[in-house]
Amino acid sequence: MIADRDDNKADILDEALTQFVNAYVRGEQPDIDEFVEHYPQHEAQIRRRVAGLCEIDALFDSLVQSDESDFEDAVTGQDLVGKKIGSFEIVKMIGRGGMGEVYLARDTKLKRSVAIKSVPASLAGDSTARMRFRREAELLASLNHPNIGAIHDIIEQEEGAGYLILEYVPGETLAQRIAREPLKLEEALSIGQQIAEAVSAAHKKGVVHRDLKPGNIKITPDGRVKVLDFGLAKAPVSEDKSGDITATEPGHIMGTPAYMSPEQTRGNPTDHRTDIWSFGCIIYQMLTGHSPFESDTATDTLARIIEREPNWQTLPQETPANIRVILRRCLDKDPRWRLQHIKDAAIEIGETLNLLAAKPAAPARARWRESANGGLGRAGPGRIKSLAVLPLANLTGDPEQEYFADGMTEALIADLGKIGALQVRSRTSIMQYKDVKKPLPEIARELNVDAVVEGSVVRVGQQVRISAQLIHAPTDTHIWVDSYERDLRDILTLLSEVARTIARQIEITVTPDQETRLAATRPVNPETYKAYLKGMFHLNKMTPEGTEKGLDYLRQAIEKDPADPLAYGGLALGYVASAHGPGAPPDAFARAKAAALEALELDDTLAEAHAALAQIKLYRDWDWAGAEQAFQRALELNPNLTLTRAHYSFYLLLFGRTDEALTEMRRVQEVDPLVPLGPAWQGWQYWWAGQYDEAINEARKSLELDPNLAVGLYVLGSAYAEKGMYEEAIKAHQKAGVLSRDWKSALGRTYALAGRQDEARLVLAELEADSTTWDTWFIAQIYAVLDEKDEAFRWLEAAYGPPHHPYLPWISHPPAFKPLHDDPRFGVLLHRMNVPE
Amino acid sequence: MNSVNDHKTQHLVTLAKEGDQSAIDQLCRIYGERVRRIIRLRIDRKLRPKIDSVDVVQDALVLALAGLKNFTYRNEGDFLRWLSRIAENKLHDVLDKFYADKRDIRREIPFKKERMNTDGGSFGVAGPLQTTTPSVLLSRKEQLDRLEKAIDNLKLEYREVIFLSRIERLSHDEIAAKLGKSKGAVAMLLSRALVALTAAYENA
Repeated sequence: MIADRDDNKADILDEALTQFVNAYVRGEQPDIDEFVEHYPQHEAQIRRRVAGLCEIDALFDSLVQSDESDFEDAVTGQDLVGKKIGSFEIVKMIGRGGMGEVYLARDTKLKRSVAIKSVPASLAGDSTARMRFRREAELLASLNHPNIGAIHDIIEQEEGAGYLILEYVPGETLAQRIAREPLKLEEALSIGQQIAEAVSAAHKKGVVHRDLKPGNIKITPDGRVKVLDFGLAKAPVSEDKSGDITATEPGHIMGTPAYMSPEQTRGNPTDHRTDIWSFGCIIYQMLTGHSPFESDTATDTLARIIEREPNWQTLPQETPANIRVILRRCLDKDPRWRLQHIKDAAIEIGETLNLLAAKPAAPARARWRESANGGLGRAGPGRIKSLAVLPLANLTGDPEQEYFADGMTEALIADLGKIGALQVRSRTSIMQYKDVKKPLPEIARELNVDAVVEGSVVRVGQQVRISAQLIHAPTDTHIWVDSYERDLRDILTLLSEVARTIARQIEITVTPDQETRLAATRPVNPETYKAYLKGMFHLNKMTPEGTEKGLDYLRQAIEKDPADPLAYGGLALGYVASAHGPGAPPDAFARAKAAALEALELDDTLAEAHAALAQIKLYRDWDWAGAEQAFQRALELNPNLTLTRAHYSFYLLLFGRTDEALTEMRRVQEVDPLVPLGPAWQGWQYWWAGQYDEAINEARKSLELDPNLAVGLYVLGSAYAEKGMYEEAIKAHQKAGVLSRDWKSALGRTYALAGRQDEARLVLAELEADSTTWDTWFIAQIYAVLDEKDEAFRWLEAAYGPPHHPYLPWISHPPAFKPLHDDPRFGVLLHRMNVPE
Repeated sequence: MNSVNDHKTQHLVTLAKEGDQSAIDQLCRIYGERVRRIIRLRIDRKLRPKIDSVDVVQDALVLALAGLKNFTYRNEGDFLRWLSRIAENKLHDVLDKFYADKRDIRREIPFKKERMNTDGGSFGVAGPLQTTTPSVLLSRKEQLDRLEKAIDNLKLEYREVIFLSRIERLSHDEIAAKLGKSKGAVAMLLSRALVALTAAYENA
């Protein structure tokens, strides 16, 4: 009942008030005294409520109106000039910034100039904010770094006013510097490096700048960079209930939109990576003169930050590729994929600066410019007929993930290799550039390619991110750049997409067949695929241990997924590789064949499996027709399998198709100009073909690439020997024998040719003491030269095996076996192998 | 509303348009906290801790300054109105993002998502019951906090009409057009809303 009466009373009161207020809001001026007379019993409440209403209305007014004192407030700062705060004499105002006024002051105690910043008055009443502010100041104080503007002290006065005593940094801001005149590359990089070092030092202490921009970076007259306002710009939004604690006044602009990270723009939580983004913006601006997302209005700028890629074409031509990559990584819209540690940028820039210092920059730049303007123009489509995929950088920082980056590189090479009209440098060629800092045009020249693909790989859990860029090599111009992110399961689709995009970019013809094969990808089992990549990583080391470990991983991959064609294909290639050398396991080819057939059963478009099968048929099965078919199929599926092409070339030679063989081997060299085996093998073929000068020429080429290439020395010496230049021949073969026991036999034969029989027999004795299948074919050659035919045939019989010596079918070719050609046993041997005489 | 101060604002806007940093700073100082308070009133109390009104205002200021050259000062209060609109739009964006995956808790006042209109128009009726100067009141944090709490307890209809009238300063005719009510109904609705607000303010 009491409640009812109270409600009733409240209703009457509210109704009365509503009438009064209604008159008021309609613009009448109701008289309160007259009004309360109608409700004497409620007078007190009515008066109180009307007073409350007045107060509320005044509060609303204060929100939408300004008054005199607002404007007075705004200039009170000037009053500090000439005054003294503690031991600091205010000299003049040097700026109004995000935190209030900044003054130049004289420290009367320490006789130095300082900068004094007044602390927002709004902090005065808020103890939490003040605490936070103090903590930030303490953090800043702990950042003792030559590139960070230091804090000397905080002065807090009773009436709530507070002052930051900061290091006074003379000089111009980076914003002024950029506006004044364009920065040279080295200058921009040097400034960038110092900024990165400063920010890195702060991040280490957990301090995030959050408002990094050219306006708060100063360059002292002696060229030192100082980053100001660290940790002061904005405290992170707290998780507590108020949620609105901030170390700054709302009335000041914090993140300047041009340098805001996408997460800042979206109002998402930010961390140290927001600084890395801003850093990227600054570097970009230093290099191009304008910020990457610059536009007429802030709205557009914000939209661009979220939606658009910066225009990478506007970066100066001479911008080194690694700097472009770093920039791209800093400006990755997704902080998860962004450069994670700004220290990495500092290091990269430092290395680039060293490189630039090491070579005369001006002529280099002039050269680029010349080539850029000299009629070549922009990298035009259609100009690119060859390219190299440089080893994709492993961005995880974890050496354990090296295999993954290498695997992705190889897979991308394989995919691009499927495009017939494009020459793609092999894994062997490009791996030489792993972790090598060289200007891209130089690398491209060495690899003899028109374009270079470089990029990076990150794998986080099941997610793979690949960033790649295509660079027109002679001009060092960017043609295309993009990032892809996918689940590890879909990695093959991703790679095929990258390959096809590159093909489109350079407008190279992709036949419908190639297109179909590129498009035909399948999901992979992540665990199997990782094991496969690890397997290939170790196999590619081309060492006995690497082969063993590699085969082990591939077997694991197959255990995990017995239906994975890639793993079987890798296994087949691994066994074939191990079957070639001396000390080959006797059943290596047999295992290789089983794996290759299994792989083809699962996927008959697997070029590698056809390639493995071709070698097995050529070297073990002596199934000539089958070998040719397999070679052709493998090379049709992937024309850039250079090693396979080399083997095919030897196949052609076996059947007297010498010109074709030499042409194919020439192509191997073209595709892989830096692989010394190319010219060595070409020389070998010339030697067999009786073209000794060409053989010497090619052998020398291989030795230029690798002076310790035993097979190169073998070919060189053998060609010299044929020309009667025994001294040179012996010298080359001695070195070959020292480098590798496998080529020791060469010296024996050369001694024999030179008439130094005793020395030849010494070599023979040594070889025969512990001969392997590999040696048999070579020992036979020495006996042939020594004209001991029985011994020669005995050793050829041993070479016949089983297991077969892989080179036995070619006995018609080496000049060494010429003395045996007339012997009937020779024809029988050829007949048994079913090779033409 | 005093036109002298508005004239000063107008002068600062002119200077700011020419790129005068000190004028820009002054404008931000004068209007930043006001806009922030307005924005806070706009946000439901449950969301206030989650949305950083300072951020919203700063973003709005950034946007405003960038778009300053498109702003024309025609009438009294244009600058603040313009600024508030930008802040509101910004708040919309923030809320949209915030609600993108939390649709069910959307409870803020459904203010119109219209883009800025720099034509302005008059502020409508000015409150005659001013007790002290705006800047002094503005510094009374506790009162504003109470006002926030009081508004939180109003029903949506009341909150909306108060905003239209007291913050956006629309005339009763304009509000009537917006809400599809008669002018008299608007006056009555506003009266009830203000009475409810004062009651809530008393208890807040």
